[in-house]
Amino acid sequence: MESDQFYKKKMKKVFLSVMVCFCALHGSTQASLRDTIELKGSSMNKSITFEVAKGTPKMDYALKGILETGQVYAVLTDPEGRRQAGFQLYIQGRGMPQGGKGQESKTISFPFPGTWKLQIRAVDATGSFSYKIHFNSL
Amino acid sequence: MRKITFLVLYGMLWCVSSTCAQEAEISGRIQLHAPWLKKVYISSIPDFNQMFAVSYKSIVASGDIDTNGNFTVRLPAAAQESLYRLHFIRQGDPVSTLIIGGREENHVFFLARATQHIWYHSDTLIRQADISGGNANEELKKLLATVNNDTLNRETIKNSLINGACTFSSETAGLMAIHYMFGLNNRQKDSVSRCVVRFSKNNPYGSRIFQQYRTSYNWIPFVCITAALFMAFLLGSRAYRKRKQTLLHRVLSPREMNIVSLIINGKSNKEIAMELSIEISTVKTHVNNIYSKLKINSRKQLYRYKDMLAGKQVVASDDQEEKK
Repeated sequence: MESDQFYKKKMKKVFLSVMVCFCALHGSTQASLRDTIELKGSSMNKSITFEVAKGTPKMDYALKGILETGQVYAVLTDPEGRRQAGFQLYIQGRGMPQGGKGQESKTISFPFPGTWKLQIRAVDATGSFSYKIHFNSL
Repeated sequence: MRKITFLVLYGMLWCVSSTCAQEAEISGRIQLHAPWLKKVYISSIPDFNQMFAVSYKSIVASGDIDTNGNFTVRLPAAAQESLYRLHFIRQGDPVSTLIIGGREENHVFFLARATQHIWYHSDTLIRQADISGGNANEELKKLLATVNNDTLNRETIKNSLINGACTFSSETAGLMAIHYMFGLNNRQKDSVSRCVVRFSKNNPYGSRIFQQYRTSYNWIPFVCITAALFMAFLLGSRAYRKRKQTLLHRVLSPREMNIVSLIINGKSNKEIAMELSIEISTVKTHVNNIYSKLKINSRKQLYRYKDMLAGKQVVASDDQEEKK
């Protein structure tokens, strides 16, 4: 009789734990931002902002720029304005050997909550720029 | 004569060329496999904002890696410590390629000055920790390890950067610590401003930083506080003197005031008695009363009331004239 009650209690605990895990997983949302910008001798200035919720366990990002000519500037800043990622590519004048390439990828654990900003600026740029930002928010 | 002139000119040319075209050297060993080219490139970084800038023009030297993985590259370097980036590229990638983060990271930073020797010894991975050469590079490694450590609390990073800015023996590493600072409160900004003073004004890496922190060390509040304190002192002393003056007038009778003025003018008790046509014992009684009222015990101490008495007498005489 006593052992039955003990098992009942234990089963109740397991059930509750499973429910909590299910709710947590179901409640979490995955956000993903990605785009590839083709640059054809053009200039552009683009700002992408996104919200990172408090308690977000991790954020992955990947930036990649391949340039034949011109300049590309990309910078990812956190809500405090701290530079977290980014690079600049400068290919001055046609005929420069092979152009240039910049690539950055990283996983940030517990990113600072708030509004993050990815700023992309291109000047007379020919090539492409792509970004991918992925994070789970509870 | 012509021979001597030639020798002097040759000597001067040699001096100029030896001071201008000084070099640093970086040598090392790395085991790079298939996708990587057996080449090493060195870029000059003139500004901290250019640390992650990729440009063919910024490459100042390059060299080959031999079959054993060894390389030696000589690079033009000034007498003043400068920041450089060493990078490798994979086959098919442009020379100006920068890969940041992950296992494929292709670069490390180092600090070098003319005639300095830098070492880079690594296995297959390209890591900042493998660079060495003097205190400056140790400090640079420590700084970059802190900045890139995501597990550290933000306040810990900030304090570590402030500490680096104030203690690093390398000016460039110290200035880089300031460059990486973020979200400082006023107290932290003050600490940085105090540390910035130790850097040479001519350091090219500091120009932007000096603008921000040397001007932020504002002397206006200091001047205002000093002026306010000075004014408060003036007003306070004036009020104190006025209070004493009124005290003198309030406490002493007209006869006593008269005696005080005569004492201050150097008259003896006898002379005062004669001048006022009173007994000398009366003068002594008045003097004793004055001493007890003003809580003093000698004529010498009475002299400190000289100015007040003079001021009061002027005021008193003005009043008398008005009454007339």
